[in-house]
Amino acid sequence: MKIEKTIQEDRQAKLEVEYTQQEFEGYKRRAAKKISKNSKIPGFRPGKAPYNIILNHYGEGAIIQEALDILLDDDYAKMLDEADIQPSGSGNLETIESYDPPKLVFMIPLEPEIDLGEYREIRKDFELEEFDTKQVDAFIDKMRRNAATIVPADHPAGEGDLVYFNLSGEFLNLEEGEDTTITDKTPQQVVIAEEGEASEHEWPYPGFSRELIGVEAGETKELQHQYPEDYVDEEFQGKTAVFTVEVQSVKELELPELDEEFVQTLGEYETPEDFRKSVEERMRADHEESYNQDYVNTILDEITENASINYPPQMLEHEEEHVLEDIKSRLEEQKMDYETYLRLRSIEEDAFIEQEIRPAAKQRLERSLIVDKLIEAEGLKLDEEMFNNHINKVMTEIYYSGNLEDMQKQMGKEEFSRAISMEGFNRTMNTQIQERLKLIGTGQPIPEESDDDAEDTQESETVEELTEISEDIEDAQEDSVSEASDAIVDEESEVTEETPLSEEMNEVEEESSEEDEKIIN
Amino acid sequence: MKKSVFDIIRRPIVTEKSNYQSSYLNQYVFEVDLDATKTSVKDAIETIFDVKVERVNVMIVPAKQSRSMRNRRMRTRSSAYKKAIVTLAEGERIPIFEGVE
Repeated sequence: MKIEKTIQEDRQAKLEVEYTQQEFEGYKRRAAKKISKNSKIPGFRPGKAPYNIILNHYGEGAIIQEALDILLDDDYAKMLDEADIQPSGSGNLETIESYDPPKLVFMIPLEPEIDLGEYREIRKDFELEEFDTKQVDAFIDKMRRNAATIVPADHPAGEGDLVYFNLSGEFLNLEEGEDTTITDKTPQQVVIAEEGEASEHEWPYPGFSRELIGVEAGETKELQHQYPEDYVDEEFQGKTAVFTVEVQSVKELELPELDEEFVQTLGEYETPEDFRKSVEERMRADHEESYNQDYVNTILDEITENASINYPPQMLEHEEEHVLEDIKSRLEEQKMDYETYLRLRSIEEDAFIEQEIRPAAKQRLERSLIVDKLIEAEGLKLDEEMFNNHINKVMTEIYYSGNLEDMQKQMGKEEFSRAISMEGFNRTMNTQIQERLKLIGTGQPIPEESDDDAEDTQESETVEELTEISEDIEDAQEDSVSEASDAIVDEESEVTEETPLSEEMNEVEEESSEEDEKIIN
Repeated sequence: MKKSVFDIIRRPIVTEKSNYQSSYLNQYVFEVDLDATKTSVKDAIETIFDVKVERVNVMIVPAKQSRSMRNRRMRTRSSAYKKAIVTLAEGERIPIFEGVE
């Protein structure tokens, strides 16, 4: 066996492997034996026919084919060993230059090469904006409005009132032949916004609802509006329109009092103060969390920008498949077919992959490579306590989603606990890396706990731990289920806002998954 | 009409057993004409393959009946034939048995 190794620019190794006639002869014998085992040659029991009989019976080509198969199965590992290559994925047999004796050319993806650069020097100001307690009021108001009852008003429409009307509208000074109608007596309803609160997407134009202040049932009001040149809807840009509003009725929203009775309908709260406190806590935590996330993301972006990443193209292809699968499963949730989706977007599959999947996959891949490398470079170790917390959380989430038993059945117990511990592991690592990046970004001292040898053994250790833990989970699965159900009672209030498991799968990758969502929408 | 040598020797028999005989015992097995004799087989082999024959054993393989695989009621029957085991002199060989041709 003669091996020639060339390592290419794009982290692929090209191996040219040559065998001598003698070496290959052995493989041919074995191949012939294998063929005769699986086939009937008249006059011989399976596996008993001699080589030349098989050769006569099946021909040389078949034997060589089989011999190559055996050779690849057996010798691939040996080749890698001899060529001193650590592959990052399965290699590819590019060409067979000659058959007998064989000369083979392999393309083997190598481990990606990542240079993080001076990432420890990156500084970003950590400026958590003071949490605005007004948001709590706004949230509570919204809850009240949702629970409001609608009663007829006995006064002209004012702020916060609900107006029912028929709306007709047409454009003014259009050129001949164009359709002037915008709408014709369509029933509409609108809540009159408070000063400065009007949304920008109001229909038919921003600020419309406030024009209705003071109207009464049965009244007809005519409004003229000049759309700006940069209006979001092209059809309306720079045009003038007249709207006729026939008010049918004015209703007011009767908001429920913020009292014990009301808060008790919302959850397990005793008093309005309790409710307020828990809402505030939750919103404050969200606020901090989302800022943390943004902060870490900007740091990661900067690291990615400064880092040099070199990975084999197979890795990107692999990631593309992942992204595509994600999209397909998401489409399935929306009860849509991938082909239909493509037709809807009127885009060819190839172009779709080229333009949308590939960049998303690239970003996702690079991000995850960077994070992996960071974990390695920082010598982060699994924090067991945090890990256990995360595991419990995952279990609880699954319990809530109500799919616990389905998932167990589908995956099988072993697979299930493996998946759970992987998920827990990922989340723990993410939290840890986020914390570490925060320390780096704010320029705080970094705890130097990692000795050199600890770094070396880290990987194997965690893997062992993982298997141990997944075994533990398997044993204690029943327990954790009941634990999870215990936890429900405690966490009832918190879980309502919890994102579902699938969406939170990988927090660090959140940005890229948002990207995917964009693709879908 | 006198039978030619190619009428006497019908075909070589290649089975696990005959393969063993040819590779270890220097014996070659043929199906021969039912009327063939030891001497006529010996002459025929010597002419066709240009080898020296030391000994010939002949036997009649009896006809056998069995039931058809597809239709169990139907009988199938293989006819009887004469088999000759030809032992060659030391150092002689018949190449067709070794799959070279």
